[in-house]
Amino acid sequence: MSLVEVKDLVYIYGENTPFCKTALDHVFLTLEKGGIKAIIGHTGSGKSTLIQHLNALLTPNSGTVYFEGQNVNESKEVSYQIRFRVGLCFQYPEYQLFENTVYQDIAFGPKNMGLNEQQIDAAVQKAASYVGITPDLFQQSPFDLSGGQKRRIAMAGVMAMDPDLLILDEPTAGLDPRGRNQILSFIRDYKERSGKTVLIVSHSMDDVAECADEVIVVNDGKIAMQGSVREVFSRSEELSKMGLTVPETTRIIERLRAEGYDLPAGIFTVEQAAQAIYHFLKGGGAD
Amino acid sequence: MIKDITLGQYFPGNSPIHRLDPRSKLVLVFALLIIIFLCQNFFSLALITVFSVVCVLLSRIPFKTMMKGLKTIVFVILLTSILQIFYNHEGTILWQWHKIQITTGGVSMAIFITVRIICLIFVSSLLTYTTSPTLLTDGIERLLKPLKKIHIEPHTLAMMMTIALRFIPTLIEEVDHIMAAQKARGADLESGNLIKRAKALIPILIPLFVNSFRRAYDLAYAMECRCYRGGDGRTRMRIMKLSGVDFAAYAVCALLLAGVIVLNICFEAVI
Repeated sequence: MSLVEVKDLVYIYGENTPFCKTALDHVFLTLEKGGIKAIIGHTGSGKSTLIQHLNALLTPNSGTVYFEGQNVNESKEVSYQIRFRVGLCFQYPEYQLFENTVYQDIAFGPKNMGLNEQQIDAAVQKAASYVGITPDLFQQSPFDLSGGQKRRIAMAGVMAMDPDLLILDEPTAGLDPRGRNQILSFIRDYKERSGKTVLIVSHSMDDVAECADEVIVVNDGKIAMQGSVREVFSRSEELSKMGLTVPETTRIIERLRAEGYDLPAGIFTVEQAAQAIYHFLKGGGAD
Repeated sequence: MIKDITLGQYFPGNSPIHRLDPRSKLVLVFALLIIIFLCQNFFSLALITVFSVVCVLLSRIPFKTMMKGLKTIVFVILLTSILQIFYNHEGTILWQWHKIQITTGGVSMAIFITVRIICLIFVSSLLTYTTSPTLLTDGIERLLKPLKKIHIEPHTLAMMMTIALRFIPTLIEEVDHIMAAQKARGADLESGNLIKRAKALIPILIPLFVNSFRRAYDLAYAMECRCYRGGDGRTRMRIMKLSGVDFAAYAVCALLLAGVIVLNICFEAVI
């Protein structure tokens, strides 16, 4: 059984008003268990709307969303319980902190799940360790911390529910390169240690190239492509028609190849590029 | 979710009503509200109703939009008319059951009040539909200028209003966003008794406050960076000037007031 199955999903914003807009137009999508998946698409393509259906925050106009075979909109109770299994962390989550202490804020989700004191404590400790929040910060007010720390705490708040699928909406938005690298490595680390499936929503191709195994391209309310990073990024012309570009590194290598340098195709990250250029300079020619 | 608040929604256009000076509009709307309350019988009320409808037609605001503004006060209208129907025992009895009776007086009173409320809403929402919030506050600022003599700064008040109006849609969007985020963490906003529900609001209100303060500081810095120092010595890009449309509107309203007074004298009052 697939982890998530979206069947013929339609969602219209502001139905029956002059401003109505079809955000999702007959979407079919299957996500298998495991790994890091990425949804990419430019602003307004429908990617944020799509993920809010996966944990039943939005109810589709038509179509069904199945999570492990269960229709997430079957009843109010199912919709409520599904939110603990599909953890959704919104864009700029640091603006949603509210508790007196870091510990209490991370514990908000587990508390709503009805866990007992001990289970909550274990969940908080584990979630905090995923994002590098040390216990000495637990009793501080979340509002006193830095922006990067706040974001990590907010992410921990979702991880603490121990969801089977963790969805992160633009986890690196507005961060400096260092903060971005840190978040990406925490995400990879989380996947390794928890073994859960992670879904990242992003418009940064470089982020996607760096950590995703599978890419889903959303364009104009439809799924335009789905496949491995290599497959999707090799269709750079189609991507640029959708207002998307392949990672900067890939573009540079492609230009070099066009200029006649003998470099391999399918390079997406700086490390791969460095390796290839090193080989080229040293030995002359691709290996 | 909470997006269907129409109050203060500007509907751009170039009708005679849109072109009225915002100061005139404010004064006239205030005058019209008084005139509506002056109506004492169905004849003067009919005159005012026709006038309101003509104004709406002139403004070219779709009728549907005007009706949407009424939706929020349907409850008030229903409540007052029901109270009138059951508590007014004048005129002949139409229907009776034990002590409850409906009379012609009650029914006509209910109709009278309903029409009056609808007129009030139409006239006052026309102001916000046809005037952009900036123009509106500019107008208020100019009208309140005499207050400067008693050391109240109309400019500060107007600026506060402009900022408040500007941020209402932003805050609504933000509330939607925070609600979704807390729901994603299993916040239960819909069930439970009153105390439980009030408590459930904490995760929404606290971030909203914190973010509002943050926004306020950002805005204040941005304003200072552009050398904002209050109203002293500020000139305007748009200098307000009364034109022919304004004088015509004043004349029409004066005639309307005269008409209402004449009809009030000529016919028997019902209220």
